[in-house]
Amino acid sequence: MDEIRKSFHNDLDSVRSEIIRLGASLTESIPRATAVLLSGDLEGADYLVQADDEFDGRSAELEASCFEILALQSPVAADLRQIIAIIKITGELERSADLVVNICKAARRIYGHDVDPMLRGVISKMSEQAQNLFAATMEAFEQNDSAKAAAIDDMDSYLDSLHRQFIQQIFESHSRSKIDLQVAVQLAVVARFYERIGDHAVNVSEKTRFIVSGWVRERGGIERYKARIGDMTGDLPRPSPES
Amino acid sequence: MNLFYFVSGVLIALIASALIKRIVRKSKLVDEKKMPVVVAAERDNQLESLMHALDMLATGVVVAELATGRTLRNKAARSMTGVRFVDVLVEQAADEMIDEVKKGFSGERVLETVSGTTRFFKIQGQATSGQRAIVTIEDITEKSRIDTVQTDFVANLSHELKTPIGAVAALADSLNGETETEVVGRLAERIVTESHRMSRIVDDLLDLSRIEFGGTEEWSEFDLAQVLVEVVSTHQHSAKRQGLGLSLTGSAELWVRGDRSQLNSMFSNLVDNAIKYSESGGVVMVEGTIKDDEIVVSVKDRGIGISERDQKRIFERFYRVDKARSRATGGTGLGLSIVRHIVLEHGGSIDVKSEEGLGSTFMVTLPKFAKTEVKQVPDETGVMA
Repeated sequence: MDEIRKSFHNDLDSVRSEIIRLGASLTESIPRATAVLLSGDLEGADYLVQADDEFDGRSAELEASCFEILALQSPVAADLRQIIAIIKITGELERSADLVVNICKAARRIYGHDVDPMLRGVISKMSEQAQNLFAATMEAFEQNDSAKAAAIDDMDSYLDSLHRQFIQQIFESHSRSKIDLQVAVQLAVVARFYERIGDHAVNVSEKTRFIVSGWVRERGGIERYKARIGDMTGDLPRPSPES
Repeated sequence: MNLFYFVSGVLIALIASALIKRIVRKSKLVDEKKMPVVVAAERDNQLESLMHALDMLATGVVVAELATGRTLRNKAARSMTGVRFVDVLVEQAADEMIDEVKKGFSGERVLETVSGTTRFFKIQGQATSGQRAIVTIEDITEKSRIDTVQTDFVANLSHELKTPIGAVAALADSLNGETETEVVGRLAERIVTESHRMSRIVDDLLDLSRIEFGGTEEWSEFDLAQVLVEVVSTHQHSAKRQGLGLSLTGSAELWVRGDRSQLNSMFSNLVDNAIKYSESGGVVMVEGTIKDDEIVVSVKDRGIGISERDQKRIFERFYRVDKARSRATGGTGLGLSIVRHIVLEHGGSIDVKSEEGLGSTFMVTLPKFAKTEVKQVPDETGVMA
């Protein structure tokens, strides 16, 4: 029996360690993508786009390992929360890595166009903040620190404000004819990518809080929906077999 | 240089391998149960000293038993690998190297990490007898930086000198067959311009060399505030021509000991750059104050700014942030390098804070001359010039 538990905990440690590695690779890729974008490094863009395939492969393997643990070991309580959270975090990391790839693809589209220094400055700041968010959220996960995880949401507010500042700056630069419309649109999309990366970091931190205490975010939408249909039982209506 | 790193890496691997062999031989040959207490104590002592020796190495050493996957790490390896930030990536690279050795390969790779500051790690792996893998991890960030600076310097020096020389040769060639007076005049003028550019580069290089190896015999005590007034007055005209404001504020007296002409040329350089890289309507502010017994002079502009990546390299010889723009403004690419050397020569330091699009601030800190009585009060307007 002890041997079985030992093997289970080894498996759990192994998936935890792999998710931390995936998180570190992602954190590392954010400043790389920004450098690619700001320096117009097409070769670097290609490299990062291709590296995403490996990231996807590792994510899929990690998920498969989690499913195997669920199927063979039937974890309960904190262990079960841990496995469920890791499966969800894998999805968040995989999606964030896709956003990094999108930044590289945007770099290809704006290649050869000058970017207003003011905009470059804000892009650098957004990149740095997104990187800090992911480093902090992965640290909170590694340490099972729910207080640190709770602070990630506040850190994300700064990234959101940088995003708004950036959009405003794009309008100003465009009105002063400092950038083409095509570049302005691409940069607005790029800013959105950074902002979304921050949101994924917040989602990861919420999963850490779930692991530690079972905390789940209140979902206002579900409450509103229930109130609208007047169903106080808490069950969501489902389509009847006849309809 | 690379050969040196390779040889040192191999040597470290061999030493580690020999140490491990000794540990293993000792542990295998002696049966624990039959071993006399004295021998066991001696073995423990040896093991401890060997581990201590491994811990003294700056290079990280990881010894992995291929069959069981168990690893032994020295102190440096423990500090370089782990589960946080860059450590995770180094650990991952070391594990990958162990896997490679397991498959029968040996070799080396360089891992570059960019989270926070850019760092380089050289990771080497090779198999040893007894089904073990030895992986060494070396932080080669500083070596890589020096290599890059050296390579860039040679490439840039040849480029900077070759450009005007090529231009002079081509212009002289055209001049040779030209008979029209107006064209001859134009070509000759260009030759003069290019020759002056070349001459400026050589002068700057000589200046740099003189500052690097120079003594302090020309030094005297003087009021740096007066030098700042001179520098600002000299640049008022060029600032106005570019539609910029140029102001000087700060303490009335800033006594230093040093080479007055060098410090004058250094601040001229900083103010000149601030003007060059500002857009019309902006302002360049020079401020000289005393903080914590040191003189701090800042030159602040609201120009195009410098990216974080470039900030780390702007004080290198011939490093240019925007190559096209620097040539258009007539720089030699040596200005900030000279500035840095003058500051260092005077026992001070220089720092830059900049954000792209918002401007830059260069802060020079110099030791205050001791016997000075400093009046910290600015004049009525707070402006000295």
